[in-house]
Amino acid sequence: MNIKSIYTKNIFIIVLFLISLTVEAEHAGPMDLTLGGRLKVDAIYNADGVGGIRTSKSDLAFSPGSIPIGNTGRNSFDANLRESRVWATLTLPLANDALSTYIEFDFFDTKKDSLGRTHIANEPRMRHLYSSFKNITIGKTYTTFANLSAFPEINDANGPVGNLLIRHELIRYNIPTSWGETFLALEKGESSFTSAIGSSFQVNDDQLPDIIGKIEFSETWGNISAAIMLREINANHRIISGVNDKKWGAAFSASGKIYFPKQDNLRFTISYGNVLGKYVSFNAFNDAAIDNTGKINLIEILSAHIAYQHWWTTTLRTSLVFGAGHANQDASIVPQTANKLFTSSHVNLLWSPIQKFTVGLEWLHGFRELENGNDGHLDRLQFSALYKF
Amino acid sequence: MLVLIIAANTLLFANDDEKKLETGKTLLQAIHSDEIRNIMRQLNSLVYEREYTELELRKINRKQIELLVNEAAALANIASNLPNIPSFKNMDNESQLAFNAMAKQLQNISGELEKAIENNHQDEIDAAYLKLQNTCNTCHTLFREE
Repeated sequence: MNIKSIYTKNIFIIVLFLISLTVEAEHAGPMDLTLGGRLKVDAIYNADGVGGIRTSKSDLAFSPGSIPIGNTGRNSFDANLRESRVWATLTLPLANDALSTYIEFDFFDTKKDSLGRTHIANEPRMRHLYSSFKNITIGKTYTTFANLSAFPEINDANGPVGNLLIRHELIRYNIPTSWGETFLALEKGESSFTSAIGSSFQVNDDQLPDIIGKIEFSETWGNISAAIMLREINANHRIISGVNDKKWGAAFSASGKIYFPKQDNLRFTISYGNVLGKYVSFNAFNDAAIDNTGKINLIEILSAHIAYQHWWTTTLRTSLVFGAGHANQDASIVPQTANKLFTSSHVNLLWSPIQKFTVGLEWLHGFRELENGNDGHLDRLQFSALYKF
Repeated sequence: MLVLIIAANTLLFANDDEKKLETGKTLLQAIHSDEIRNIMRQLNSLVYEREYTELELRKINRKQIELLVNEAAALANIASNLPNIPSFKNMDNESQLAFNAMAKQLQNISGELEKAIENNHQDEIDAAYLKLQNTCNTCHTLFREE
């Protein structure tokens, strides 16, 4: 962890703590601090290595963009505790409501040590830091565009292709109703691009936040949500000096979790739009391509995942998951090595002898195809043990 | 929070080995509630969710408990009118007394849980919820067809 990172995180915590103390002093209410977390041990065998370096994150958590094209012949085994998490909640009664603050870290920061080894570095990484009061949430957490209940119960840290799982800074307003909830949010814009030579890059030229609206219907049979997002993709002077370009785009998503008899359930997400790149499948596709004249061309993406979980007994269950993502991009602008299609299949057997503890084995098959038709695949076997405290 | 989830699971899968709650029919069909079972199922599934934060879990949990209180109150209301239905009249006196006592208890605890939710006291909610779970469990064990 570098000095700047330590400084920033600590400043956040200190400020939150001081705010809480100030509010508590003013209102003389009891402050409730809860600590918790989970210990997760993963043992992962990659039938075909990913990422090119032994200790890259792609070896530890499924990243579709890192599926090797062609067989590298490089098998690998890794064991780690990086997906362990610690969290704290701070709740303060205030004006007939409660000001709640949440902070969570995992250990997925993969800085290298002096010998260039990353596998021994398990430095904390901030996953969430946000406060909620009444109907407003401010801070860093999962995007409003996602429906977290649609995330399947799998060992892999990232989840299937088609999954919407991104955490960033946001301001969210939610309106509870008798049938569910409505959300409106402004979220951090951070556009990612494919250059004319095929490399991916991110810029800090975004001038407006992403605008997201979502409605969620909740019933005793489960929930279904529908979300819409508007984004401005902006790049200034990135390819040709003096050439600025920006384009507005939109994306839609429907997702949910439906219960079947006993604990069986079906989870799904389907998304479509021309500004989905950053939000879906861990940025396997980019938001836009920039051509040689410096102009932005938005990338149209269709992605989905579906997961069925069957409970064999009250403690033993299997999730069968399939996800796919496809980019429709202008072949005259993006290079032939640009990603065109991803799929992933996951099947697991998980056992929870007690509710706080889950152990299980999972198989993952990932597929990646480029615009030129070349493809590659990855098979991964992952054993995980998870204990919540 | 975890206490509530464990309690939900206990009720949902209680006596699973004997297949009582899963396959057996309640002796008094009038007080069977699929809605309550569905709510308990959702409460139970929360413990296996991997990406919700603790604050979000609490929020969802609170919503489900509110639904549960409404359903439990409706159930208690039905139970208090049971003397009018034939299957109740076929029960012996001792069973009728026991059932009435359980119905009254369900009514009281539903009110207790409702008040705890209004007061926004997590400890009180946990305690009342456990009582509710025990009442449901006892009643389901006692009044079930052989």
